Amino acid sequence: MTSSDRITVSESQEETLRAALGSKLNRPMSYYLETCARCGACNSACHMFSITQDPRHTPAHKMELLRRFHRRYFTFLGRIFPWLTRAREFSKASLDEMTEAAFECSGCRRCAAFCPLGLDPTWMISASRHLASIAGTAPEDLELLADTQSMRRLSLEDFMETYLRQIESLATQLREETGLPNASNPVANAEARDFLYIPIAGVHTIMPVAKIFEAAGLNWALSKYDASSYAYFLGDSSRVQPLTQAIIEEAKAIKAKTVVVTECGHSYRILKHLAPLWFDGVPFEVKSIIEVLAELIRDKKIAINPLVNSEPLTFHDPCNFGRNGDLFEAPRYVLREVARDYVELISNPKHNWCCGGGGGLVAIDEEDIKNLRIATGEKKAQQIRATGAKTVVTGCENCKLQISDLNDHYELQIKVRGVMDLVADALVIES
Amino acid sequence: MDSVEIFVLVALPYLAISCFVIGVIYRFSLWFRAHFAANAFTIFPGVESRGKLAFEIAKEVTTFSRIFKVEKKLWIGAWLLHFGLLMALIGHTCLVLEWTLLWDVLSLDSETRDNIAQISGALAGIVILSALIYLLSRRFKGPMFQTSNVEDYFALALLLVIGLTGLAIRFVEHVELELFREYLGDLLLFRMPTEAPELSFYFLIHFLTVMLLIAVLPFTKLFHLGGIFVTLRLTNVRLPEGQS
Repeated sequence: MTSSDRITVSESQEETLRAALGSKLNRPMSYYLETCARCGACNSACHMFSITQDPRHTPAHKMELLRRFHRRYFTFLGRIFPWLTRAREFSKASLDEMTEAAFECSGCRRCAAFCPLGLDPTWMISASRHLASIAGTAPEDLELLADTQSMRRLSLEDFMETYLRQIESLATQLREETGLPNASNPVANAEARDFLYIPIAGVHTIMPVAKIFEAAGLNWALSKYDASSYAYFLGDSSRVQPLTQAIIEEAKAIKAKTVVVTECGHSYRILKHLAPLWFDGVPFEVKSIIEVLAELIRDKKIAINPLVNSEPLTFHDPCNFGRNGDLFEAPRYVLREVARDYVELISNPKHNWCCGGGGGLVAIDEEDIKNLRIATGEKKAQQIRATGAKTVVTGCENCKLQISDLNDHYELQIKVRGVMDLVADALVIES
Repeated sequence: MDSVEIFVLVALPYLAISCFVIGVIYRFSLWFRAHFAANAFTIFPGVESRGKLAFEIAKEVTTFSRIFKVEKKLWIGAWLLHFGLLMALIGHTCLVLEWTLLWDVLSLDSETRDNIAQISGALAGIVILSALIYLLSRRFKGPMFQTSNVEDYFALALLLVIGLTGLAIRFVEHVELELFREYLGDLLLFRMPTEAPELSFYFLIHFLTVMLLIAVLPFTKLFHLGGIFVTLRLTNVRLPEGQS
């Protein structure tokens, strides 16, 4: 027992944490907590442990830290003989250790793809992150970003004027660049539209799509909201759901048939796979921008000149697209159509290595975390090098930022682009 | 039968089986009492039909293909252990019934039969023991040491004692099969056994540890035996059927 192990949390905080852990004990979580045999097959599947060889980075250990709390507060043996099961009370040391472990995980679920028992360690990571958030030990950056997003949603009107002005100037820019005379401010108002496009903060997620959608003559609207939810990285669905609900309401108001999510991994997962479960179905289809681009190309709604993209390029499957999102085919189809020399990064994309920046790690501006994600991104750097590609295309903001950092650090001499960027580049606008 | 024999050979087996049954019910009732979760489980692409799901689960349960893909040494250890245990379990069915049909089909004489039983039993024992020793040693070093609990060592050590004494019974002591079948037959039919197998040293330890194994199985990590069928389904099924 270390000295900080004796720094206990207050009784009321212990009860709050116990209750929070209890609220996470739904059926799958109970299976996962009690079925893990600690065989350690997940260890070799994890890019972090594969690189650092640090026992603290094994998924089995990260899960175990939460399981020790579970045993202490929710199992007979753990309550009576804590030493027998290594059950642990909430204390400063135990919470710090759990927090560190939970935020040194990119939540990519590669471990889950290889678990012989079919368990999903990220459930435990997510619960650990939620406990850390309650205990006040989670990274401040993420808390701040999550709070800012919630605040923006609540006081949207205060931001609206500036936002509309910015979009208006983008529309002008688009008209000038493309010569498309009808391109107008697409921000969602009461008018009915077929498509509602949800961007994330940054012009780079708006302009290429606006260009393509206007060229295709789609009846579309631009959302007032940001697709991303930083609270998701804090395992806190109660802070994510209001953001998702706002998007759903906006889509309903304009009777959108399709909600199109920008190139952002976790937003796609939330809107595509979680929102229908949280809100008992949604009255529209959810598609990634990449799926919509594939359809536009397939249906010949846009004209493409693949000669523009002639250098060898490869595609990195973001975890929230591939094994977590079921989006394998569309990006490959688009890339084969808009580029001349597409090479695969991995034979089975289900088992793709994480770029190292997932789970919100890219957004945490702490030296230790940054060093860790760059170091553990080595697997990805090796993969990229082996393809000989000059451009790495991917469909998630986290992955793009991380691979750009890897590019600098490992001197890969590549360009990092989004699928939508390549399509916008290859777009032929017929006047 | 004297009172010690009655306690060991009659009371204990019923007690162990009761613990097992109660444990399994307790475990599943805890699981099914827990609230549903609106969440996404699938590791895509996953499988769509029930048939494919059954195949996927059967494949994983019999081949441990996921371990094979990530850690070959662990796969050898884990697969051999489970295969050996299955063989031992099948072998032990001859304690209850005679494999008359099989012997007739193969038309083997009793001497060949005994030889086959002797060799296959010894092989299963050696396979189990080697795998256990490897898996146990693995838990004393590196990341596995940090993650392991008393429970992990206990489970492996318990199986090790069972395996060792099992081999000792085969080679050092002798079990009167006929007598044993009668005894177990009586137990199965809830009759007081008239005659009891001799409580020799290795047999006694083997018997006691097996009873302990049966009793604690649902309360320990060994119950991944039951959990695996639920959890493999969750992550393999293509889309959440609403809730799980």
